[in-house]
Amino acid sequence: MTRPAARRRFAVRAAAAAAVLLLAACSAGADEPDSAPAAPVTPARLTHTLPKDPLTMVLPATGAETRWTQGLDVFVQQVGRVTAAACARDRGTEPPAAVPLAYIRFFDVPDLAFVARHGLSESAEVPRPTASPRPLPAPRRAAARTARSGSVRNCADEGTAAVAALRDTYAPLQRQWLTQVAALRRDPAVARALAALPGCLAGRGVPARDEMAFMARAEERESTAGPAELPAVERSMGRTYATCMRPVEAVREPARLRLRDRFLTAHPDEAYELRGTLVPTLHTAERRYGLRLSFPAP
Amino acid sequence: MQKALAAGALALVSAATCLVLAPAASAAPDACTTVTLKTGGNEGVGGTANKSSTSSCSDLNLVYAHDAAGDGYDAYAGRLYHSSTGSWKTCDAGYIGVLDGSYAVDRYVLCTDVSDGTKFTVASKYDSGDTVKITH
Repeated sequence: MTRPAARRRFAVRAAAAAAVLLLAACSAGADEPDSAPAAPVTPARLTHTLPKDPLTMVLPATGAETRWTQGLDVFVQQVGRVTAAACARDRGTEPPAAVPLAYIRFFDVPDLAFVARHGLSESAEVPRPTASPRPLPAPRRAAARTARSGSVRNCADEGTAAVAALRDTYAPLQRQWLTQVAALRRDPAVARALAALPGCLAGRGVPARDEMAFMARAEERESTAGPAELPAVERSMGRTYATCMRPVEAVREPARLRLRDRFLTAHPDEAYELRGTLVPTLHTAERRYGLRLSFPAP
Repeated sequence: MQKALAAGALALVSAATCLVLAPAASAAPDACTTVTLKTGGNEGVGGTANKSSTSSCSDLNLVYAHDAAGDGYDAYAGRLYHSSTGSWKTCDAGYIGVLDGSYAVDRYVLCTDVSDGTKFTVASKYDSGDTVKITH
């Protein structure tokens, strides 16, 4: 937030938030179920079970269905990383540096059951490839440090090309779908449901004008929590979010399901093709790259 | 978010006194900083930046996006490096679908309350190498 108006707005909100927290501290025994310490839960796990309809992975309409989408996203990125690492190994260079992969949820299709259990940012750990490239011997590692950056760039390009070859089979259709899903934000019924969100959040001690502002409040609290209390704070904010977003999803999820029916009717050829080819293509990639399709599960 | 005010609010909370609070006047903040990044995937460390320590802002606002494949749409998520644990963490909003274009600060907030100096990156769901501008 940078604009003067926003700053003033924040000044009021910050003071209000501080006041709310102080009031909470001063009213021990108040009924505040979502801010109560959350009981420890077992970490999120992985499953390998594919959906009955492969298109569910590509065109998610519910929060639970996005778990398959997240698994597919990670899988294709793993293909790229394994390809780049194998390229680097063959050339005697270090693999391109990369940020570790993660299962990332979708703002427009929230997985409320998952968030209620694990919070907004936690998920299952991405498994390592079963056939990871062998480490370089020390002399070659030393040589690799002086290798030209062009080699790394080429191996990164090889990885990117492997990702594209797999993802291009479904990405054009999925982009169209997710664009339409995002447009549901402007649907009058969805907008009415979202308008009730601030009241629910305020009632649970998290004043926020909208969903995005709630994310800000959640990250504020998470960033100030100590390491020992952080998991409980994350789950508490996750429960608050899930509780207040359920009425929104009660409107938006049926709307997405209806939208998907219409979408499939409008794209019969692409849907037919993907239903027949997607899973065999993924299984081939699993064998070729030593990977296994994995999906986060609460 | 404006950092000095947040720190003040936290100090008040930490004190845990039961006094009546009033908004305090704030010092004039410095300008925010904008960095251009290539998004994640196979782009590696080239796609990271550090949260400004001189800016008055503490959020990561996506203010511009251009999809590398020319499709005009991608979904973006902020990720932060936590040096205390040596791990990367995805910010709470997750992937936010964004059409190509320029946007005002506060429209698409990828991460909030990011500590000074924190290394961050932006993951894109589709094409790595998308160009994004982050105001922080």
